[in-house]
Formats: sequence, C-alpha cells, structure tokens
Amino acid sequence: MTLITSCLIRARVAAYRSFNRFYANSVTRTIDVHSVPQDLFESKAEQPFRTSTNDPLLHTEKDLGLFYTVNPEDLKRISPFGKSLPLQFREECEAFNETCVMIRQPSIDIIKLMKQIDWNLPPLKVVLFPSELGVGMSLSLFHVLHYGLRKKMLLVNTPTAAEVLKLALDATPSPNNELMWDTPTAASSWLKTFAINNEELLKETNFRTKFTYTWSARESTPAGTHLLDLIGYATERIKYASECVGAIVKEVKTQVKEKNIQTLVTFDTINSYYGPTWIVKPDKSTVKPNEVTMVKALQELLLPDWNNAFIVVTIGPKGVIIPKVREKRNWLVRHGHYRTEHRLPGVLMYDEAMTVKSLLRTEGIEALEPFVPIQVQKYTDDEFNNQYRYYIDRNWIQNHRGRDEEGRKEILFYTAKNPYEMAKFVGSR
Amino acid sequence: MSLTYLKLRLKLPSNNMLVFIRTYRQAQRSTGPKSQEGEFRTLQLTPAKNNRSGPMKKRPKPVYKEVLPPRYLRMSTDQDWTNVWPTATTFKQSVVPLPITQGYVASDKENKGLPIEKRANAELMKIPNFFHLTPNHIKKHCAAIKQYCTPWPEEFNSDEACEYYLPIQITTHDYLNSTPSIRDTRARVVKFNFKLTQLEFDEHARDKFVRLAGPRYNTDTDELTLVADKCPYRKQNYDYAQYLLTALYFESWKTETWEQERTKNDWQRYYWDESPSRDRLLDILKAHEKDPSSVNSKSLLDRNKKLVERYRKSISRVQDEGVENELKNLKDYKNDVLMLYNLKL
Repeated sequence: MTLITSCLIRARVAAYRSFNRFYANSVTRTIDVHSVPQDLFESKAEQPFRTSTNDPLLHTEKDLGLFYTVNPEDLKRISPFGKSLPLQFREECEAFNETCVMIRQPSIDIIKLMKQIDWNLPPLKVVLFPSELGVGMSLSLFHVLHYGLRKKMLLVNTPTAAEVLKLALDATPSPNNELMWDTPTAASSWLKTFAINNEELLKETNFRTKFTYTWSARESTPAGTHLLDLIGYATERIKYASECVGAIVKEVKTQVKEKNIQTLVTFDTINSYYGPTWIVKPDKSTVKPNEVTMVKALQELLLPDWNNAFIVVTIGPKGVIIPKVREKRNWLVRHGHYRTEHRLPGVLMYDEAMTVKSLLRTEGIEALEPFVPIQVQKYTDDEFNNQYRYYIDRNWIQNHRGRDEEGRKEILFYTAKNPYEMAKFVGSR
Repeated sequence: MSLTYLKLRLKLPSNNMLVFIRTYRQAQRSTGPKSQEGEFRTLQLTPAKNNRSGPMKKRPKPVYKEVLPPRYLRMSTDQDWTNVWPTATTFKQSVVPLPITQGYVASDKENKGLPIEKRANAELMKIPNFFHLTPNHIKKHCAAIKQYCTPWPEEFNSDEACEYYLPIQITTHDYLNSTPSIRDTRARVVKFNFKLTQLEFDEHARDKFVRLAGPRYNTDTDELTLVADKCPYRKQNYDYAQYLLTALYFESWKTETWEQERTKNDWQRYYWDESPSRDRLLDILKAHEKDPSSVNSKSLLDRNKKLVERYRKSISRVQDEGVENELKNLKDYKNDVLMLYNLKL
C-alpha cells in the first residue's frame, strides 16, 4: 500500500468517526415545522423551571420537576471529596458555575416517608433501583442527604460503596484479626467524610465514646474520648482506620437512642456488598466483602437491632463487580471509544436486568429486608422540558438549531428522556 | 479371457489392432522449421496462430429431446388433490402448483439475497412436507377408519374429566411393515406420562420426588415422563416402569439422616419459614409490642397472622419469580412493608 492510499484510508476512518460523534449537527431534519402547534410550547416557557425555595425542608410535591440550587457550603459539607455526586454531573456543574439538582419523585417520596416514620422501630430501609443506566439515582440520594443535613440529622454516608472493593490497592491483612483485610485509605476517607458531615452536630451533642478501644498492646483509646478526636487519631494512625470505622458504627448504634439524634444512613451502590471483590489474596483467591473490616462494620448498620435511624440505599449497575480478576483488564474501559461510549469509565459492563432480584441476589435481599423498593424512572415530559430549558438558560446549547422547537424534538427523540443520555448528547461528548 | 472381457466392457473393435500403448516418455520432435535444429530453438508455449496442425473441426449441434411442460401447468383447477399426492413423498417441483421458494442467493456477483424458486432447488427436497395431510386427506382417512371406531364415552366430556378418569397416559407404538419379520425393536418402548397432582405428597416428599426424577420432570407443565426401554419386550418394560414409579413414590416419602444437612443453597424455592427473612420480620413485630420481653415468636405470629402471611407470599414471589413479573411483585411487597411500618405514600 502506498503512503497516499493509507493516508486516504485514515482520513476516511476519521471522517466516519467524527460523523458518529457529532451526528447531532449533521442529521437531516424531517419534521414539518408548520404541523407543530407553536403556542403550546411558548405558554410553557412562561412557567418557571426553578423553585423559589432552595431549602429541601420546604420542598413539596408542587416543586416536582423543578430545579433548586444547592448552597455551595452545604455541598462542601455533604460531599467534601466530591463523591456524593457522579463525576459527569460534577463536570457539568463546574461549567455552569452552580450546582442545581432537579426535585424528583423518588426523593420526595423518601422525605415523605422520613417525616411520618416511627423512630422507635428498627430502621426502615429504602432501596432505590434504576429503570435504566443513568436515570439519576445518586442525585435523588443527594437530595435526601441535603434534607438530612438541613434537618440536623446524623449523616452516616457511604457515597461510593463499590469503590473499596474495586480499587483498594492498599488492602492488607488486619493486624488484630488474621482473617480480615484492612483498607486504610478508603477507611480514613470514610472517617473524614463522617467527621466533616457531622462536625457541628457532634460538637453540639458532645458525642463521646462509651467503650474503650484497644488497637494494640501499647495503643488504646479510653472511654469518654470525643468522636472527632477518635477520628483524628485514626486518620493519623492510618493503620487502625478500618477498625475505627467499626468503633464509630458501634458508638453511633448504641448512643443515638439516648441522645435522641435522628440518623440518616445512606449507601450508594450497596449491591457490591453482596458479591465478589477485586481484592486478591496472595494465594490468588478473592476476598469476600465481609472479610473486609470496613465493609463488615458498615454492614452492621443494616441490622434491625437499633433505632432512631433511617436507611436509604441505592443499587445499580455501577455496584456490580464482575468476578474476573484475571480478565479485568479486558473489560475495563480505559478511554472513551465510540463503540464503548455507553459504558461508564472504570465500570465493567453489566447487561442483565436492573431490578432488585438480579442486582442484589437472594443474600442481598435477605440482608436488606424489610425494605421499600422505589424505582427511579426516566424524565417525564415536564421534567424533560425543564431540563432542556435549564440547558438553554445556562447557554449550554449554543447551536441555534438546538434552541428551537425542532431541535428540542430531536433531542427528545435521540435521548428518549434519559438524563445521562441527554447530558451526553447536549454536551456533544 | 480377461482381454476379451476387457474388450467387451470397453466396446472396443475386435480386430486386435490397438495394442499400441506408449509406456514411457519420449522426447517430442520439434515442429519448427528444419533450419533451427541443433541451434537455439525458440520456446513456444502456445502454438503459433498461422501454424495450426489442422483445420478447426465443426462441432455437431446438440440435439435435445422435446420435453412436455411440467405437470402443474397441465392440471385442472378443480382436480382432487388427494389423487395427485396420495402419500408422503419428497417435494416435486413439477407437481406442486404453488410458487414456493426457499433460501436465498448467496452469490456476490448477482441476484444476491433474492429468494430461490422451486425449480432445481434441492433444499425443498430435504425438508419434510405436508402435502399428503390436507383437510381432504384427513377426511378421507377418517371416513376409511370410521367403521373400526367405537363411540366416545359420555363421561369424558371435558379435559378435567379425562384427567380425573384417566390419571396416567401410557404410550406404546406398533409398527407395521411389509417385511419378512413382523418384529420391530422400537415396539418395546413404554412411556408413562402423568401430572404430579395425581399423587399425594407432603412438601418434603414432593421436593424429593422432583429431585429424584431429575430432568424427567417438567416444571412448566407439572408433568412427569418415564420412558422404559431397557428390556427386550414391551411387557417387561411396562412392568419395569410400574416398579420405577412405585419405588420413586415410596422412596420420596422416606427421610434419610443426611437430609438434615440440607443448606440454603439446596433449596429449590424460597422457604420463608426457615429463612433469615422471618427472623427480621419477627424483630420488627416485637418492636411494635409494648413490652417486647414478654412475647415469644409463636404468639407474635398468631397475633399478626394475616400480615405475616401476606408478607411471606410477597417476598417469596420476589425471590422465586423471574424478571417478567418483578416490578408488580415489588409493588406488592412495598405495600406490605409500608403497612408493617404504618406508613403511607
């Protein structure tokens, strides 16, 4: 093959790819504009797409489908390391210079349940499950978390539960228990998140330990230490961070009742706790989730032996860990490619049904029982319109073709009201 | 002798003149002009045009026989098809008066993807056809058999009645051939077919019966199929199948000691009464009571019988059934849990 032909072929391949990527601007339009009633859309345009109240305590069902702006201070307190919101959404927020979350049915439902729950009963669990990939479970969970923060509840938040089991490169055998595995980095970041989430509340209520914790023959923490001090100690002596998670869980479970603090426990992608992990022992067998110290401690939060708590968890394809230790490299999405664009980076493909039984399996359901399953749906028509107008308001849709009615219909057609698909399409990623 | 035989076979002329067979390779003489001999000769791979050995012979034109048009073009439209196609045979394109096609052209050159018509289509001859089983055929068959039939029993007026009076279906086959022997080894096979609802079981016995039967049990239709073909005669096979059924049934009622070692992974379906789910529910019911220490689990279950039963059913359905009904099952389960916690959505 001559040089010229090879160049030509390359050029053709490149053209093909670019066509695939930016098909938004090159597709021929077949909608007859005159057949579409124009006044209908214009009358909707007069309605607001943002709520007047940015306080989640005041949100009601009237605000459904509307955006509220998250106070940047609150955002920093809820997700200090930016893990409570998905990466793609955070990128968008950075571009818009504000964090706006849509108020949607699942989060409103959960808040409604939280308002009428009897706190003396064992904690109720709410399981959010998706209808598709990228319908906004994490955002619904974030809304609930924001509500909890405003209501001065104790937040026990595990934003990306699957991460520990996937990316714990520093997993080591526990110094006190040979059978267990420590994940120091993940544990210390969990502790820091807990401390930052609840700093004010812990100081107000003077939350001190009830038990003495012995870390080793020389090191121990006496009863009566403030929780923040305990966390400070554990984040310095990172070797004991994983066991400190267990200590925090124990203290929270025992003291929440007598101190009369309402607790909000949240897990994102908890289905990873009932499957395999990517942590490998020296003899090349895999570690089970309940052999990881931190995970085992967190699983105890789900037991019905305490009260004054409300548990919200999500299950989803992000939490499914495919047990292919050797072939991991083949499945992992390194960089975006047009054939693997629909996969999330760092996530293995999961093609089965996204319902409770297939995501959690028998053991997972048993561990979470009794729970209230709530499905997160795609956008409704109103929600889609509001999202579209928000993008136009932020000047995110700059192409004039995308801004008129015809363009709106095209976006609707291509994304099928899926929020994540819409963000990808509009952002021309 | 052998030589004469060979001649006869090959229809050779009998004058014994063709014994000239070259058995070794001889150097060919050059066909070029004599002046080139002994010098550098030209290599001629193809014969030169002006230098042909003889004139082109004219080929005789092939003579074809005159062929009649296919039969289907000569048929009348109101003929009796049962006479045209009386029994099962392979497909004949000249007989079937239908524009049937099968397959498609795979060639890249032309007509790619077009369906292939019936003429010279061997694929149509490979598949079974049912031209011998048209309604008219069946009518004729029935009319012929009718003289041998007895009237249908009045009691068997519905499927349920048939099932009730004839709980088991025993199938054997007789084979008739026009051969010297009237025996056919296939006639020995006996098949027993019945529904499990015909037998009396408790939960353990049924579970064990299904396990012992293995692939012979069809979950969808709840049917068991036993096929006996080990013995040489039908009577022996029939007796063996009877024995097999009896042994299966009574063996399933026995409880061996090692059956106590059954774990959760051995469950064929979700046994809620033995599952941790039950303990969870009891915990919550206990928390509802005013003084939790005074009640035991049995009294709790009795008091909330209706709720427990509903909960048990809905969670078992979530655990057992597939994805198709799962959203509906989850909705039921959600309502039960909300009722348990006295909540409203």
